[in-house]
Amino acid sequence: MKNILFLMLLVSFLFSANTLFSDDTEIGGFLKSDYRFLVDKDKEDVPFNDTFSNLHIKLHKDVSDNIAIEASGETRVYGMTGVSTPADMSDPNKQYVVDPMLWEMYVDFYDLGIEGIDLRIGKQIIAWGKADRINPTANLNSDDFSDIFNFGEQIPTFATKLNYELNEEFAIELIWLPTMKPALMPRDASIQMGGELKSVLAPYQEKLGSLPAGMVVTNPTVRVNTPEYDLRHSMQAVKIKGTLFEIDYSLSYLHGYDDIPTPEKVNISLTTDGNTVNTEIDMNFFEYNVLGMDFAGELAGMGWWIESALFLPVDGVNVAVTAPDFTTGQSNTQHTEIFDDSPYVKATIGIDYTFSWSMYINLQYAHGLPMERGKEENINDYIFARIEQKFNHDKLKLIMNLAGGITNKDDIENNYGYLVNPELKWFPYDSTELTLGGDIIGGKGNNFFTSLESYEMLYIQAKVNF
Amino acid sequence: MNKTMILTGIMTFLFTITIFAGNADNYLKKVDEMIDPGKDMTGTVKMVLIDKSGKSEERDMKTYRKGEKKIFFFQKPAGVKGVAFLSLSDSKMYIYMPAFKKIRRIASSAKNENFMGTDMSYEDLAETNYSKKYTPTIVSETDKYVVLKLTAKKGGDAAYSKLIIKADKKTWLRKSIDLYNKAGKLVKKMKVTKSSIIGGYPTPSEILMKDISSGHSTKMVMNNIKYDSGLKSSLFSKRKIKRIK
Repeated sequence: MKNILFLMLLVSFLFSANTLFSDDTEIGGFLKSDYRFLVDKDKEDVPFNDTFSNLHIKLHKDVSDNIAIEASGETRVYGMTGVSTPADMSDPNKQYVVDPMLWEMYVDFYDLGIEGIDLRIGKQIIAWGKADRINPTANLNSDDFSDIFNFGEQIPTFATKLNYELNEEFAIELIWLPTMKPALMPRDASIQMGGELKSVLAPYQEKLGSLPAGMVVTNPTVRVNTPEYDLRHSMQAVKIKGTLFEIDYSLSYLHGYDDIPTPEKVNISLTTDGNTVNTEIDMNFFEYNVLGMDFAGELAGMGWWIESALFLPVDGVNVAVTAPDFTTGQSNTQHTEIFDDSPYVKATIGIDYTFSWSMYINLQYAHGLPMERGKEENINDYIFARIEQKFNHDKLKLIMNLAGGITNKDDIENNYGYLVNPELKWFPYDSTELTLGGDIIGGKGNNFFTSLESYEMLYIQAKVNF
Repeated sequence: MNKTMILTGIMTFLFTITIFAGNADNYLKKVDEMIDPGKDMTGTVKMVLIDKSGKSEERDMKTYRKGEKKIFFFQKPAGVKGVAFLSLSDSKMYIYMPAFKKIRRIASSAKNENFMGTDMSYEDLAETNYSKKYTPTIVSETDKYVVLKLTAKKGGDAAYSKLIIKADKKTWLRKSIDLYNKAGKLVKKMKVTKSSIIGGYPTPSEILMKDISSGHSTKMVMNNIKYDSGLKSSLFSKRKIKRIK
């Protein structure tokens, strides 16, 4: 109910803003609605949102030549029901799961004191990286995994960003985030965090599965502990960027935290009556430093880019698992190393080219995806291709997205995955976009693609900008 | 005697060619000077996209120019609002897409692409100087007009193989252009349908660009044009196009 009230207030505020402020206050946004149909009936019991709608409203006001404010709100409506009790059945707000949220909200100061200095304070997206959607250097905002097929999205984070453009060819950017924010996970649990947890708990699952009759294993209690909210645990970044020999470049440094938690402590215990087994799990976000660089330029009419990040974990991730010996009742603590503090690299290299017959091709090789982290063995290799053909003065666009990955080069036959995503986009009117598409997903082994195999689908999407 | 006559003939021919070539170069130089007159310019542009059946859509833009640097900023419709195109030179163009909050460089392979669904390409909008990329010859000439054939220089990066430009000898405004692709095929026709003198500079105020194969056309109507208002060079930067209004 609070959510709905918030949404109503936000929408009323944004719609009345024009009157409240002045005629030059800009209001815009988009409404997007997806309808998805799983094609494999054998997998119809997977958690899945068959509809996903999105209303985004943005307000922008130039207060003066040197000050601007911007606020935006987004409401996501999921097809799943929010009804879980008989009482919920009489609540219209429980028919669907509705998530209203403040998206961005910041103030901009231009040429602050000195010409060329811009300061942005507030909740914002800081779009780092020159690669296309797979940006290893973009670690300031949290990843938005809420829609598994909206790849590469991030959510805004409170930050202070100071940009000083010394001249047209060189600028420096300083960023401070008071605290890290975890990644946003999907409502339908189609992506689950804690892959490492499964491997840590595996040796204990067998024991828990063969407990004496009458013993009850309760559902685990999982605590996600974010870093302390203090200066020591804030995030800081610096970036220099410019153009040299016709090549756009940037070099960056970030001190921060990974946005997906890893297990730190697991405590399996017997209650005093000896009949119940409780499991408590503490999860933390590991701290790292990241050195990043990106370059973009042109060669023989072809656009190219290279973006790379070297991740330097401050400490390794070591899980302490305390579990009782079910015969003696005595507890033992064992340490399992998930990963050590060895550095690891992620990189994306890409090219694009437009042919004279309005065909656009974009090819990328990626070493690492946003959810892969921790150690070099976890970072896999992927190829992405996007082929677009425009027709009828951009009124119609046929797109083919292709992706493939290998998780074990020594045994490719059993460790690969692929995704084929054809799309037809039609722009029947100004600011209107209708999409018909589908996903074919396959592969072998345990990898990103095979984890999505249940989500082969057809979809229809409508988007209207206003 | 015969030898002398032949020599004289050759000399006369070469002299005539040189004079004409010199004239063609001079004429093109004058056309170039009138592509972007004044120290700087601001204005609004209404682009009307008309398909073969006559159905139309509109795009509103603001434009800024200083020297060869240009900015086109979309104000309407909502789907493209905030999109900004920055041309720093023939080889350095950027586009800012507000939805992604990113500035992307435009590779030269894309320069001949339609600019946001219009019949103008990125290169058409960024054009500042034909002499750099084309060699002119005079096709015909009257008291009022000169028709120049521009052939792309070898090894250059001109988007078209040939242009036929009809220029007004009084104002040196381009009255019409036939644009031929690299295969030598006529692909577009541009016509200045209205022009006026603004701030002392002859200025085209209405341009029609027609795509020959699709029948689609774009009418560009320029308004609120101001010259020499003292625009700062710093406006034409990647930093500024994110917030230009």
